[in-house]
Amino acid sequence: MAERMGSEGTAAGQDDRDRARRVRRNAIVLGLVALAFYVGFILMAVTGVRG
Amino acid sequence: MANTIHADHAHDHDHDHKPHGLKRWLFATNHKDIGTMYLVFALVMFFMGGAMALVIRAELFQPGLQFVDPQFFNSMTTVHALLMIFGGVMPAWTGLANWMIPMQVGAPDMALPRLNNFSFWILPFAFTLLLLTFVVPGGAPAGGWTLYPPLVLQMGDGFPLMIFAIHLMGASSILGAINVIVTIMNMRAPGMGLLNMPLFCWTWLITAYLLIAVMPVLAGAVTMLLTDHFFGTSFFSAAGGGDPVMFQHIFWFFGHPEVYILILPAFGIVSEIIPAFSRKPLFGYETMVYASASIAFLSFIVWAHHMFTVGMPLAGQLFFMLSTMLIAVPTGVKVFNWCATMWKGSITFETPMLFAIAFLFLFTIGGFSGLMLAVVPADFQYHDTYFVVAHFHYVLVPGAVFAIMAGVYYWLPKWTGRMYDEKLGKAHFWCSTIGVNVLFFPQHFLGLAGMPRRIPDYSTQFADWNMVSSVGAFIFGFSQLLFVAVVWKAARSGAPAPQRPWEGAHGLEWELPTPAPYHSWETPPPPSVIARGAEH
Ligand code: HEM
Ligand SMILES: [Cu+2]
Repeated sequence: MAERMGSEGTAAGQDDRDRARRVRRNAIVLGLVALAFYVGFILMAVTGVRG
Repeated sequence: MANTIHADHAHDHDHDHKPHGLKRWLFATNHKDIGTMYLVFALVMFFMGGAMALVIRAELFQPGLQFVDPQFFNSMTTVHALLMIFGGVMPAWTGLANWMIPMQVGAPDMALPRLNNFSFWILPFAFTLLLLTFVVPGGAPAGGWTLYPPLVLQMGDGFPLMIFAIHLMGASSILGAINVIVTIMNMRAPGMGLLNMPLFCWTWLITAYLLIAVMPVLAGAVTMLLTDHFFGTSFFSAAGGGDPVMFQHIFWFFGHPEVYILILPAFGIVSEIIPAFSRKPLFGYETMVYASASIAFLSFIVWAHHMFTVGMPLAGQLFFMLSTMLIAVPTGVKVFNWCATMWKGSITFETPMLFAIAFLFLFTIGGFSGLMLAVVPADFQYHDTYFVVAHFHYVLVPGAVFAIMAGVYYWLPKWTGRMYDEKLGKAHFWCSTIGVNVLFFPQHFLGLAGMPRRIPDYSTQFADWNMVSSVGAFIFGFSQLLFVAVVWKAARSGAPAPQRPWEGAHGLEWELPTPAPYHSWETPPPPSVIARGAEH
């Protein structure tokens, strides 16, 4: 880890930053998916989809 | 995210440096520390939920009302279930995921360590809120863990506390699941393909997707209960144009995938332990992955098997009966593969393997009773009887809980650097296995004879098997003190463990020194190590 820390600006540092970006993007997308399920089911109930 | 992983190390280059004292735990970002907190939390919840179960079984030891009043009895069944599911099994899986996934995929830590801290620390608050309901006017939830309206809306002042607690538990699980997915998708060592991962990572990955899909649905359902209670909506009230049955649909759309959330990681653990102690590669690794994925998919289209008796069109009954039975196919594939893995293996029976084998037999019994319940006309008879109680306890206790214990025995040497006492471990295994069967097998008979679930009193023809079941409950419950003793003794004074205490064990975790270093793989493992570790 120390070696990666000292490597900002190098190729490895670039990899780390790319990964950090990917991680953040994935986490946000998954969070939004969860939110969509939450809101979606409430909306479904509001609009009266039922058996 | 890589820079968060490094954040607390920005000022020092001694990488094994750990923060000390309370701060280490309060501000923990290390996957092992957080994993330990999850596991300890789960253990505490198992004991509290277990104490409630013993209150239930003490009351049911004889017909008549002995110890508690019926309202409190109903709180015991309700809170027992909530504690065991959301406080015991799920956090135990997250604890194991925290400990093992970074080690198994060749990563230094989880991808989102601060989120990890947050998802853990939500839990103590959530369960404090839930337990507070015992001391507010109206008492704790008593309408069953399924929270059906209109009954649940009759709860006293504890109602909003319970709803908030469930929201928090859900948020914690969702955040934990996001962390698992993001870790597996982004933190694998170069060369560690998805199909090289140990099955525990695979089944957890699938579980995490289930969590993200269905925990929000539960949150939606309880939000609607909340607005029905306080804000004059009538989602579930027929008087206002709503429909109480709709709650059941929404709840079980969450509820059935939830039961697979409780069992899929167990499939993963058993799929690692059986090959290790059979000294053979797992039979059908890829079919195991596909079977897990099919089970997860099917789990979304079977929910109404929990509500056959509310009345639904024949086509609905047929659909849900057949889709439910379809799940037996991938489940059967798994059971077959585990048996085929043991076939002609040179098997030894250390404690983790004993628990895994017991899992294989006893989980399968639960699967069979599930199939019986899936038969619509039969379910009309069995529904809401002790037969259902027997079914889900077979899949959950000698299923999920045994797999958790198998995993703890299996990995404890890697975690602590010390071996547990094999004799004591075996004693714990035999007491638990005998206890659990004496406890739950007679409940099949009671259910078939018509004893309803969730009642504090019963007619006298059910007396004998209830007594047997209660004796089993006390044997099983007190045996778990042995578990604590074994783990405690190992961690304190166990013999030093070698790097690979189980000769047949594969997986990257066994390529790390014992005890595992604070940051698992600071430099990714080289391809030769990955190849050795991934030899399933
Ligand atoms: C072959 C697989 C399975 C089948 C066919 C199956 C089928 C069923 C059916 C039809 C019911 C409803 C019974 C009723 O209320 O009348 C049920 C209830 C239940 N099952 Fe399963 N099941 C299976 C596996 C599992 C697993 C793996 C778990 C958990 C680890 C589980 C946990 C539960 C629980 C908790 C309930 C009761 C929920 C409640 O009413 O409180 N089942 N199962
Ligand atoms: Cu189900």
